[in-house]
Amino acid sequence: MAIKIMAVDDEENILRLVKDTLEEDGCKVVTASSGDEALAKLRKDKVDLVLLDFFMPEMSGREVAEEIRKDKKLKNLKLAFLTVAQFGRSGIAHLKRLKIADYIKKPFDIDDLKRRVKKIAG
Amino acid sequence: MKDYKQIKHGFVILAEHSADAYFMELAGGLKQIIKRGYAGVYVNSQRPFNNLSSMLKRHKVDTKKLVFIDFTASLEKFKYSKNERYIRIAPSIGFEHLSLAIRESLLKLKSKKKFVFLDSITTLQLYDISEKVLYRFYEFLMDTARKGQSTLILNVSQGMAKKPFIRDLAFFVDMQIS
Repeated sequence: MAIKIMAVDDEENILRLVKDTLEEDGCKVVTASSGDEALAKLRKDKVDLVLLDFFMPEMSGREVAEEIRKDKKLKNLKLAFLTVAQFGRSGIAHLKRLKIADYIKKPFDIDDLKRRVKKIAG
Repeated sequence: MKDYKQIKHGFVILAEHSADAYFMELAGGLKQIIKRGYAGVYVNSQRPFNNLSSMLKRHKVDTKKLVFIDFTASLEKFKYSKNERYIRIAPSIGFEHLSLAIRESLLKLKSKKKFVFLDSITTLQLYDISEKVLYRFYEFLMDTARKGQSTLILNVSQGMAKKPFIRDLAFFVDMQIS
């Protein structure tokens, strides 16, 4: 069965790139351009992994991740951040607290994205 | 006195200062960093430059090791043509120009150990800009630090550290000084 991924990013071109890349690799990809949209879609439809942009207006990736961890039905979802800047030493503790499986640095290498998504969601 | 002994080049540091001793603590940290052989770019969005300059001198900060980027809304007329270490960027011009000025100022510094000193995160947020632009600005600064081109010191008053945006920035920090 195909791995189902949700990609969340306020940048339309990033969403398109993630969707095209992962669908080409046999995954099923749903997208959301904001944290609110992502949470609404996740409450209706189950996915295997959420790829979450960290810096988004209105609701950041951190806030979305915190909402997911608080939600009884969603709390065990696998999460990975998409980020331009690399997380810091203190940040690693925050990532552990939110049970973030991995983070993928933007701009990403397409093959690396495919490999890491399979590793996390598989 | 806040301790900057552990800082390493390329670190991102979040320095929290108590509201009632904000400048004293900030200047104390700045003095320590300069004594450790660093030279830096001071981004001022907090107070008129003339005030800042005299306050730093009063706290015995070696201002010769600093390039100042004035990003205040103040309308004071400072004769910056006579001072190579002062750059005025009106906030209305925008954060892209500020990023460019920081990049160029870092290149001008002769020291091998360089830093960008943001005074302060909270006042930068007061300007009427989209969150997206602000995020891109911080991503640029943090990425510059990660590439080993500078150490980034983000100053914030203690009461503000629990604000959502600063909690987001905390993920990218190597060292928190409070």
